[in-house]
Amino acid sequence: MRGVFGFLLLGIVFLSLQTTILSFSPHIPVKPDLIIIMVAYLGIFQGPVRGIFLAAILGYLTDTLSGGTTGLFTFLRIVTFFLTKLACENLYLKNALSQTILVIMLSIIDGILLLSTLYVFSSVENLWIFVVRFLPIQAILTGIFSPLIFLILNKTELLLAPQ
Amino acid sequence: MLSIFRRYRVIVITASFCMVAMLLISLNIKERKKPHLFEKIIFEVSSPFQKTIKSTVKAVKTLWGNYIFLVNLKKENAALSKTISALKEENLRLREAVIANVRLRKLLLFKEAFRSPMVPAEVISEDPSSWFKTILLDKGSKDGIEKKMAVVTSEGMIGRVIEVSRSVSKVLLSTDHSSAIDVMVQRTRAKGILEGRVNQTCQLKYVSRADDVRMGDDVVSSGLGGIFPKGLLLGRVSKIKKEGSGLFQYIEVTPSVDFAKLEEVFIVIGDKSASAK
Repeated sequence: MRGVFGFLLLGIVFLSLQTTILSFSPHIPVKPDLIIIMVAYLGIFQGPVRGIFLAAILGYLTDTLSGGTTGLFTFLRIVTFFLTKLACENLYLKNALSQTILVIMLSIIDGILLLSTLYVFSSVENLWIFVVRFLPIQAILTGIFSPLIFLILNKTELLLAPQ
Repeated sequence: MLSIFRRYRVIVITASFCMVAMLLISLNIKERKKPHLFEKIIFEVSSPFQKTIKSTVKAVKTLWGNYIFLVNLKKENAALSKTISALKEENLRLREAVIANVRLRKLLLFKEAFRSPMVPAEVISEDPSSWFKTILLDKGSKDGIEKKMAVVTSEGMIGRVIEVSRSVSKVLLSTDHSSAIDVMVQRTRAKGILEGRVNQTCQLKYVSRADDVRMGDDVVSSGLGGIFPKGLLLGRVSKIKKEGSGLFQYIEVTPSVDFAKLEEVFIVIGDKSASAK
């Protein structure tokens, strides 16, 4: 239980960083998605029940602070978690390079899935521009941050693990 | 049965959670009147974190600008270091104060010129995702803020309040793809709808090809819809295309407000006593 609360607290801290200091340039509207990295970590190192629960809560937290429809990021994070679990079964994801590549791939899939979900539920008239112009940059940026976030999560998990 | 569940545990759990999320999206696709209690709690819990990070960044910036920068100068100018450091520090502080003064004076003049009552607010954070353009302000229902209130700065209008908790409110910026504001071109009174685009610009839609619109024309709110006061500047026409055979022309508008530098804003609370009557 301590672990769950620890992850949630870290999720809030990451979201707070994302909403305050992690915007680099007004001309390039991208910022690293620390929550995707966190969900990827959960997918690799946590069990399915605990992991999916945390992924859903982290998605809902993002939904609350974001301007999108509530439930959108909850759905996306659950799918991200599932895709990570799927990747875990077929790929070796225990080193930093493979984890970074996974995070980049997940970011791209997440973006395309977001666009598709919005297409189903509302309008996406102008958003495809983002996918074409900025999604690859955003994915790479998220990938760059992943080793650091993985390290923080790993240390936190060790710290909160029962003796 | 149990063994099948165990075998496909991940898929079953994912599918059920996905269904719940989809249900959540379906329930929220129409605009809700009030945020859920849980959402309110998240707003209230996360805002101190965001405020702390924001103020820490501010403090570090000030420290860098006022002290560390001067320490470097001290090394380079050993003889005059103490005097120069003190003067530079004071100078920097004064310059920062002058900039803040100019900014706040502009806001004050704007507030005095603007007839509707307004509440000043500070931006505490922006949207966690790159897909949506929203900001959180440090004023909420306890300050009289309600949904759909217009948010402005001295440079022009920036958006409207879409969610309110006790001490925090969420604002949808005019550059968000889901924002649509009834506007007109100030010079010719040609009406249209201003919609947000991804690259910090807006598109002025449904303006007839016959309407006279020129580069640099000011685009202001029309007042229709009752949310935004009439005549507030939103931006300037920066691109016009009349190619093709459509009914309307393609017009791109650059917002008058630099959204990357938003610090203080005003929430137009309107004349409540008048509306009550």
